Amino acid sequence: MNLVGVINFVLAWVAALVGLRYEALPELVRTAIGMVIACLVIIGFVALVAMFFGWAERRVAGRIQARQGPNRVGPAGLLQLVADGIKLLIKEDVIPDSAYAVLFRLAPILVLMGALAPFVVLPFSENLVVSRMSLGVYYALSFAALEVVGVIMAGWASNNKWSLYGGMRLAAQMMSYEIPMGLAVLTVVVLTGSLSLGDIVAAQQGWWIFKWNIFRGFPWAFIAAFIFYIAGLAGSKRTPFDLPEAESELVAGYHTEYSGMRFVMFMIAEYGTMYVVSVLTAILFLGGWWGPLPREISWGGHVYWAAGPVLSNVIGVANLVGKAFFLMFVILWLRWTFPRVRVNQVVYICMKVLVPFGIVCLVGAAIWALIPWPSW
Amino acid sequence: MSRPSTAFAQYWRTFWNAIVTTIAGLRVTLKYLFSKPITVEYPDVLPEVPEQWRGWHAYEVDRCIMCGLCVKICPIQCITLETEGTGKDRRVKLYQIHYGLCLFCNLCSEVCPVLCLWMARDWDLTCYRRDDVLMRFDTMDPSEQRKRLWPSLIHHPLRAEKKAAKPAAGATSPPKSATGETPAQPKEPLA
Repeated sequence: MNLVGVINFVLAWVAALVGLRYEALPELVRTAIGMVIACLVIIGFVALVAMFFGWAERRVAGRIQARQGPNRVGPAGLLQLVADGIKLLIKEDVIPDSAYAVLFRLAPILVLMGALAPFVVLPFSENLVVSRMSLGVYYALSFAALEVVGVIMAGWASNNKWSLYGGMRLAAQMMSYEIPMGLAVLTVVVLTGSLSLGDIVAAQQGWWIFKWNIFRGFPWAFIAAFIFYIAGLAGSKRTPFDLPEAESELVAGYHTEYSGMRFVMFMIAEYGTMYVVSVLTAILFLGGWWGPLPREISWGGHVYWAAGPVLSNVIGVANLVGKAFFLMFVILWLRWTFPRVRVNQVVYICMKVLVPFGIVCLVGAAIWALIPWPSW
Repeated sequence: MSRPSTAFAQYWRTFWNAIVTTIAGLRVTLKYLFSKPITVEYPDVLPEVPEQWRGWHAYEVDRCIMCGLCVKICPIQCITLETEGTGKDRRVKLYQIHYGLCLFCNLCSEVCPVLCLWMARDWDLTCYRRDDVLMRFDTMDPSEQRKRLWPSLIHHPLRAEKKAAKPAAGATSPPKSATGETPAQPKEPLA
């Protein structure tokens, strides 16, 4: 059962409660309804994550700088982002006179699409996944590259040289960091023998946390995890790789000219990309939903306790989202620790560190996969 | 280190430095993340000011002998003192400090022979109207002056020292405000 199936199951259950037969609808209509609701669930989830981390980012930034952070609106400042959201939504939507209006309007939508599309294949647990694509990893990576198009479009359509610089920088950075990212993913794929995210997670089951990919195929996947995470950091344009929106030189880079709702789209896309990178890291290297919280307690072949089908999914979601949130916290932590790197340093890190190490990891993992390990 | 380092060695040194400095930086910020913020949330929490802080003046009109020393020593003549009557009937008609001019030098308080003028610790020197910078102390509401004395300085600092040194002296000439023991919330009016 996938996410659409789960939603339809819940719908049928609710319909039965009010005395309707949901199964009477044709299969096609039911699937369509389930898909629409799944889309809304994902968009809502991403918006919530973006809001929560918009708040968390300020709080963490404040605490790291020995300040309080926002704490006046709502408990612990939790409603600050609601207030900011209302402010941004009712702001005037300004399009500069000299901008190319069509592309200017289209760009944030493309960027948001690029950030939301990977959620189709991102599993929250075994059953809570929209699509079990057999090429899930590549789907996620390729749709993340859609952001480049949107960002170049935004930079160019703004008709502002700083925006254009920002867009070009981001394009160069994201394109080049996709190489080490792909190499790191390939390392995992070679170890697991599958491109499907579900299969990759399934292969990490067992021995509590010690079958996670970072421990399996040590040290290759361990190094690959860092390569993937750093490349993902660069891909989601976060500090220390936030050259595209370097505020000291480029004002705000490619979204300088945007305001109101379109600016919100860029923000949601940024946090969405961060979340995608964190979840992918958790899935590929940190065991996905096989997490610190166990789903069954067994010893010596005897199962003392095993979670039911619903509870095991809940535990799986808690594990995965917990790990993803921790990795997102690390992104915030890195942001408020390090200064921005120079352009030549961005190229250096990619071409002289991450790519060679990625190739070594890939070859090492290939040799590791060839060794006939005894099956414990 | 004596040998000229090769590019290969330099690469690995850079690599190692990157890892070490990354971890060092992250440790520093993690330490600060779990430290207490140094922010004083002003309207809710009042900041602590030092003992010697020079805020608004405090003035005890009943103790004043109208000698005018404070008026004379003030370097910018921001104190106005007017009296009326003679002999035993002589009393203060106007005692006013222009806070638009006052530079909080503390000379008036040091020169006062009866220690009836001193600088309290109230640092909140804002006011709503321009005329409010002309502060009249002779007609001031005692409760307002008490508010000024926040948080604990309700006597001239020298008098407080004297009282602490020999409590008997305080008994012979009891101050108008006998609540020096609970300085945080003086209950009796001062002036």
